[in-house]
Amino acid sequence: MELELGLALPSSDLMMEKSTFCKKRRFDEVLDENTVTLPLFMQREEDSDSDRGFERSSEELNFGGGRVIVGWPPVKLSRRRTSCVKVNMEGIAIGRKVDLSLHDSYQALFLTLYTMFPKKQHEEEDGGYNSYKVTYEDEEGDWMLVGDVPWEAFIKSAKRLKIITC
Amino acid sequence: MPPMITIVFEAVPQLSALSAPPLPNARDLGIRLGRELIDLQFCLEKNLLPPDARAPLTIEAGGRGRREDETAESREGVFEEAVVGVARDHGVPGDGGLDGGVAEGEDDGGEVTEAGVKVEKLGDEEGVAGTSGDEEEGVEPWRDLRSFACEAGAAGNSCIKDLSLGCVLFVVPVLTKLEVESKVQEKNFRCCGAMTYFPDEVVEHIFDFLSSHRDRNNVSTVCKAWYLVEQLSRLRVFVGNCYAVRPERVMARFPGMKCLTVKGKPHFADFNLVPHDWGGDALPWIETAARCCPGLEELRLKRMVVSDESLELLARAFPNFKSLVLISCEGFSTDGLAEIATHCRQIKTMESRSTDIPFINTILNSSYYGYASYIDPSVKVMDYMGVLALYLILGPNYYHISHVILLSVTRGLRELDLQENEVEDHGRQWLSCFPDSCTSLVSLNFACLKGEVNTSALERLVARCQNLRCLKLNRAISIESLIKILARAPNLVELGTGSFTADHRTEAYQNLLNAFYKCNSIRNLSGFWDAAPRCLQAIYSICSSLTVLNLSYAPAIQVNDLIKMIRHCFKLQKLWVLDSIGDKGLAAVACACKELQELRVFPSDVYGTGIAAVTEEGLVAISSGCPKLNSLLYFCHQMTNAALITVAKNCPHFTRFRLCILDPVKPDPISNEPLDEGFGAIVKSCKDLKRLSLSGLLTDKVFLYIGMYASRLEMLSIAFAGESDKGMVYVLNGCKNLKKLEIRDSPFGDAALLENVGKYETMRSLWMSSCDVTQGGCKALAAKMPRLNVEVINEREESDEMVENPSDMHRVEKMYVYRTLTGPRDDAPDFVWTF
Repeated sequence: MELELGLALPSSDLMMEKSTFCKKRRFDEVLDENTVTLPLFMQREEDSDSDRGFERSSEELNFGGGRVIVGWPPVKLSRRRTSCVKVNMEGIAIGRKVDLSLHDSYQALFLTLYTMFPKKQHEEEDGGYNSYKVTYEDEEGDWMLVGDVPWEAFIKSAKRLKIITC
Repeated sequence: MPPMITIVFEAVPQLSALSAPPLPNARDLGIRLGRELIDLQFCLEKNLLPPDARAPLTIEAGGRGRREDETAESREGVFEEAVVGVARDHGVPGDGGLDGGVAEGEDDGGEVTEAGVKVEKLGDEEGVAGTSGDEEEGVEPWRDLRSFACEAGAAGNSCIKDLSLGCVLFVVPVLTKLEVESKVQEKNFRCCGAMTYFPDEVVEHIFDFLSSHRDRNNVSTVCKAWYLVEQLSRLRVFVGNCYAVRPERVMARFPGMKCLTVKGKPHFADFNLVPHDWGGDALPWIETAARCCPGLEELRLKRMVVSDESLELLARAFPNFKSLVLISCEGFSTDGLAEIATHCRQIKTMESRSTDIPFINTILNSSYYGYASYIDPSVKVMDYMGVLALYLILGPNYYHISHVILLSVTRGLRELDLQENEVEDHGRQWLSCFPDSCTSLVSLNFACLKGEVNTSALERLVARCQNLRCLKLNRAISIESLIKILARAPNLVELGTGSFTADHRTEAYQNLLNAFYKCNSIRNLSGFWDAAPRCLQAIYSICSSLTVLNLSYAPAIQVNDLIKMIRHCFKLQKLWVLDSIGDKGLAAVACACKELQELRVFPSDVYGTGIAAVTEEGLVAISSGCPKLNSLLYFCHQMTNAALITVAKNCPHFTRFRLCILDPVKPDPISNEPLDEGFGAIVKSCKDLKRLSLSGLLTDKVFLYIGMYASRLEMLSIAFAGESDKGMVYVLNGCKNLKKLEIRDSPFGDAALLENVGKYETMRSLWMSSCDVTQGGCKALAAKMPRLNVEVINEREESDEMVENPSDMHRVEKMYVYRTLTGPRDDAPDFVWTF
């Protein structure tokens, strides 16, 4: 079952390889049957009136890549170092949130951002996406250009993202 | 000299009202009155004054009053009365206080009232309303405390409202404690015949040795006499499920309650399985306590919703409040904390059995602080802190005083412990709200707060609280602040370090090292939020005396640095780390920490990218190196039966064993078998096991083992385990001490649920989510067992479906069953149905 949370691209191959269970287990049913899993996930998506909607989805954690089970592993909220960061675009009042850990490279991140802030949301037509730059605020509070440091270092230090016009 | 406020109480002749129920003793009464006088306005607003708060009032400026005639009427119902008078302050203590005020008062033309007491109206200068009507006669009618308070409040009479600097003298005519008890005993004797071999005081004294709630619960079921003694003497009350019993009932049974612990939401709420507004409101408990047990000193709440309003009530309605512990709670903000910091104060009381003029003289002549020498040793004395002035209206022949209670009011919160709460930051500088006079803090933990605090206020607070032993800072506190704080509090025993971001090459780091060098009392360390590699060297000097170390919030610490440090921690008893420690690190711990009793290994990479951090090897190493291990929480990527069998053999003393394999249905990777045998070995070997959490691939067999061997088990957590109803039935039929059972995503259905319904009344609660239980099953359970609440939590989609197609066949997504004395709860939200 593909999991669409709308925040990240479906991640790659990891999802399909998780079938080494020796028996058909209750757990397999959880993964396969829509009736069981959908309500829990759908609730999160449709929770748009509650501002906890996006935050909640980060609490549905992956284990072994791609599958998301509510409340697993059983770790308290305070321990879950959320990798969600806010993304704002210049000129657009409403921001988005993106889960950095669901991406494995800058390319994947940019793709997500393009999806989140499609061209028609803003009036600029010239130059396509080349007229925009993505910046991030690091742990020291400085705004830096995204892409200079290795990806792993980036996700550890990025606190916020901002898309600006050049 | 701070301004003096004196309140004089007149004694009323004692009565012997045999029909009256056992009274609160003088001290409790003093606390009530003290509370009311401290913050009358507040108590009025919140309706905390008991409806019968009547007190005959005299207003007296220190003259000698007389009671000529004690009518029978004045005797009736005066048993509990205290007389409140207000006088202007008249000078310095010891300054001939006895006579100082008399001169002014005597000529006021006060007359003898109906009750034969000389009164004087409050002077107009004080602008107290309501006395004008009596000006001509100079007679103050009897009024109740409430209306007096209104006037005092209305006039803005500060000598009532703010007694923070004052001292209050109560003269309360109550039976002495012995007399009360002999009456109780008489009653008991009538109840039980010759059962009481010993006087109740002896029984009570014996019960003092029983600290566990269970033991106390058991002795109170022996006989009525013991029930009564135990009931009146229980100071610490534990309520494991806030919906199992009403607060009124608890406090009626234990009127002497000093410490209350209440737990709210089910455990799985920690993992987001319980909707946000499910319940668990603390306000009813605090409100009821404010009315019935104002002597409350400690409150401990876990997984409850605590509003700022509750915190304000707590801060203002309990004059003796000392300690607040909130664990995994939510619903409050820094505004509520500011109330706690501002208002918590303490009444210290001293009571004496006998009073006579020499006694009073001694008080008057005593120095402002320190009075211990005179005290009658049979009397309990709390930190007495000064009497300011005292006026007596008593002459030796006319009054018979049985009790004097001296109260002085100081600000006295001892403990504020916030563990893992969700606190909203409203930006209020709550820490600055601790007044300069607050020096009583012993423990302060605000590690879970996200916002900044005023660091200079914090440093000053730490400096003046010389008894501070536990201080846990939040992430916003920098190294520089930490250094200053350590300099001011070298006697700390427990420290949460704050962010601990320090480049080990800087001077600040060197200062930190020196600061720790001087703190040789530290035994418990935590924090390290942003600890960089190499920073652990700063704590080398205290490692060898550490007993508790929590590095579970420090992902940047490298294994090798950790290993180097751990080698010094040979006294360590509790260690919490991240799984980045690896099997290698755990082996080092096993070598060094022979005293280890509790180990918790948390997942660092919750997103499971598959990098194996710790495996069964690490656990086996720990089990062979640390024979005293009795408590384990272990997140790992894999586990084998062989390893668990070895661990069971090495460590037969486990009381808590919680294993979490991140892939919840992973079998033994070597044999590809389920982990039934491994867990079976654990329960068979660890006869004292009280708490168990299972994971990995598991069939019904593991539950057969658990039912057979885990006779002391009290809490069992099951996820993605079992094959059929038989599994759950094994557990319900087998574990005779089971108190809490929580199950998720397991194939247990109605047959299992209904197999042993009587069992649930012996347990605190049962949680089942994503199992095979249906609506019909829940209804059947509720019908059979009226003393259980069978609650079903309906998330949105389901509830729509359920309304449209109400069907007993419909599967229930989340069910919470608990025994209760109260019936269905009245604060259940829409999405909770109680069958």
